Amino acid sequence: MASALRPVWLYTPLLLLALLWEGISRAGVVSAYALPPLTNVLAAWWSLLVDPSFWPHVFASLGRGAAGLAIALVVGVVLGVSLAWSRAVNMLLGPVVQMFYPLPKSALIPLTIIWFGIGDESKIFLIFLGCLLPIATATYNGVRGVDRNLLWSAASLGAGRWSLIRDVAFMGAVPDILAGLRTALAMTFVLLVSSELLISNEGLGFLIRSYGDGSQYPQMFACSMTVMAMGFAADQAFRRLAAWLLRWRG
Amino acid sequence: MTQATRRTLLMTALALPALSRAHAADPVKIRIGWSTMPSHLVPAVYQARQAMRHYGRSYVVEPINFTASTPQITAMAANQVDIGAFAPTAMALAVINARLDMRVLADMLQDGVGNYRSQTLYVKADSPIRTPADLRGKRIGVNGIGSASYTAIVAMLRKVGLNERTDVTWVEVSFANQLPFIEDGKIDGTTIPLPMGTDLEKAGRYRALFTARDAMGPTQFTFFAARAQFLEANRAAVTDCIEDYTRVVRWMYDPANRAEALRIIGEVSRRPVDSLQYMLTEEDYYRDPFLIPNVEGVQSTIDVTHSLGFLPRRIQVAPQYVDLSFVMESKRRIEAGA
Amino acid sequence: MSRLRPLLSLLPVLAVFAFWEGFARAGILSDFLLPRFSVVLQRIWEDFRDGLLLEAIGQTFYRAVAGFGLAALLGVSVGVAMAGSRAARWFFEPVVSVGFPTPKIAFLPIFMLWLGLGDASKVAIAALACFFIITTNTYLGAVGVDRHFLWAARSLGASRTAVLREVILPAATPQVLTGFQIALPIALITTLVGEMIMGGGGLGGLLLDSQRFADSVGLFAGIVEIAVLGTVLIRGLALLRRLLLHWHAEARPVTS
Repeated sequence: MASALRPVWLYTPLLLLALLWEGISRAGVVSAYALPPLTNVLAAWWSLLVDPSFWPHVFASLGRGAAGLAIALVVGVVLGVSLAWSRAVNMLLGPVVQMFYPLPKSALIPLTIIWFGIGDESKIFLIFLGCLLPIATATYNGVRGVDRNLLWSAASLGAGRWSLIRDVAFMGAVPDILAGLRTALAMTFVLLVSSELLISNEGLGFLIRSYGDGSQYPQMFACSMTVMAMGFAADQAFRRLAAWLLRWRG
Repeated sequence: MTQATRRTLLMTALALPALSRAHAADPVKIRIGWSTMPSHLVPAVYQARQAMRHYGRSYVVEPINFTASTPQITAMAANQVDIGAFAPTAMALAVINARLDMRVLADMLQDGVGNYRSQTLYVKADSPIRTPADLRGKRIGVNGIGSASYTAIVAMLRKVGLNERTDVTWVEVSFANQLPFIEDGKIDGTTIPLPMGTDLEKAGRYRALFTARDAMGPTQFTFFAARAQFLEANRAAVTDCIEDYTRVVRWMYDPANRAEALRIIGEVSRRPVDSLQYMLTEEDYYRDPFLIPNVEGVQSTIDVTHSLGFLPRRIQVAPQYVDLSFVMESKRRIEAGA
Repeated sequence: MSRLRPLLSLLPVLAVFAFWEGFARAGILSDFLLPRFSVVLQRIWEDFRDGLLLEAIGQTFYRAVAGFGLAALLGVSVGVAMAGSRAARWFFEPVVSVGFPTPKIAFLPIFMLWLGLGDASKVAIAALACFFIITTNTYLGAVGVDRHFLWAARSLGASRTAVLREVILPAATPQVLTGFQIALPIALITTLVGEMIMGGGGLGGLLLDSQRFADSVGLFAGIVEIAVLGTVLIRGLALLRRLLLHWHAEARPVTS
């Protein structure tokens, strides 16, 4: 296959889905209000992209997403390693951490108002909480899955406790942590929208809500497309990075 | 960050050094909650500050957007918002459940005054539903059981002898999804928001079955409310704030400023100005020129909601939970000055 | 000791509840912002006695588990297919990459219109939210299978299905289960959010009513109920993981 055609070929599946979307909407299978034709959405998207007042909303959401994800990465890895390494931590913290996992973020909003007020902190906290689970779970399972023989041989070679945790358990869990981080990265984009749905003054979730209230459905979908596109780009970049980090695995 | 918040932050930052010197004229920061775009006007008002007299001197404002009235109750209880955009039911809940000592402060939107807009239940133009009594056995889409529009529809159903529990089916559909749902035949009647409702009616595709005014008479749709404690502690600042707000609303209603007002509203609500032509006319909800609320309208909605079983108990709004001194003082000043 | 362990693991949870009760009694926050745990517990008991709670839990449980199950079935199939077939990889890789970070809530109205406001639309949205997570993890697990095993199995004349059943699936199991463990709470959350947006009962419906009527005791009761339901689900899956991997380890006594 000609190399110039390769990207086209790679993204043909998305093109097929796009055509399906356009067809479903144009044929009236679903009301154009619920799913506007893709071409209308793309037109609305373009007009948003060239509108300078659109970008502060994008950056506001991205900033909160990055902050939430970064905190979740640090806390999640430490938590996952501790839960896997120490029985005491597992018994003390495990059940409490577990309780918070399955709670929908919007149910927690009254609590976050009490703890963090209604500013950026409460939204970052909600994103953090949502991203914590994939990272902590993957780290925990990764550390638990590290070959016992490796640990024993490292210990017999005189590796200290910290060295065992850092060089053997953590490094051994890196592939799993990266898989968890990829999940968390994708969830960040979902969460940065939902964290803004109840209380916010700016951001993409705020825009989705205000366009929805105004029945401006193409614009509403264009905002979702923005989130989707950023998530896609982040995922692609992350896969490159992960492949590079894991190059030693061959 | 919106321009308004950036400006507010800037004002706050400028105010900080003054604060440390304990200056007498530190502006009070007033956090105003609001929910519905663009009818609540709040963020637009703070983009039209040329008509204000006291902003930045005695007070500054941070507008905060919420999805609805009730999340503002929690925020107010946690002291995160000072003035909120409340519906009558939400204010009653703030008093009864959150035990907040609330005051009706000023008008935002009134339903069914004169020829102004009243919430409308629409059916498709070719629907067999001709009168409210025809709703028997039909599916009605509302944004929430217990909401303002639900209350008005139930009042009408009872008026024509229907039982809201047994004679109709309620479907909860957010405002944004009401049109897709009725288009698709999933519901038979619903309250399509402005301006879609009136546009579709004019285009002959939908028909107004009845309005909230038909069911309940004029009511107070949304109003500003605050805790008595906050109002007492900041009486001068709040009075200046209400005066400025009133001045901007009056400025917007002045035909000479209409184009500029709509441009600002369009900008902050991110709507094309073409779609806002109904605003600030009789097709829009009524706004009192001096922000004087319809206290009986607040009470009548609370009474209906209470009779439907959505409030643990009834509250008597006037005189305990009303403080009109702010709007009255602002009216006096504006009439004296202009 | 081992029989006491489940009891011991309850201690931290009880400590949280005790701290909550004490903090609420200290009166730093109003009863509205933080009702006492005992008051919340009483509400839960009342809801339980009225039968309201069990009905709501049943609805939410069914929707979440059905959505999760559907996503597990489809996700594992697609993930394995992607690892094994170039055509499947060609089609699904960009779709998963785009679909994963998409806020599914934008498509909620479409599900509501197509599948109605009952169980089906909530099951479908929960399944959609889990599908991409399970697919990605299965795919990562399946491509991560040591190539030497595959070559060995093929050179020993194992058929395609035998390789899949005997080599790929067992080796991918830990990663697949990690995907399940991440997806299950998300199934629950998505179901609850669906119920909170669309109505239609369940614990999310109860939460919605509490939010709408500023009933903070009801809201906290809902949070506790969801936490308990979620813990039961997560614990159940963790147990399943241990059982499955236990068998897995026994089936392959020599790993290195």
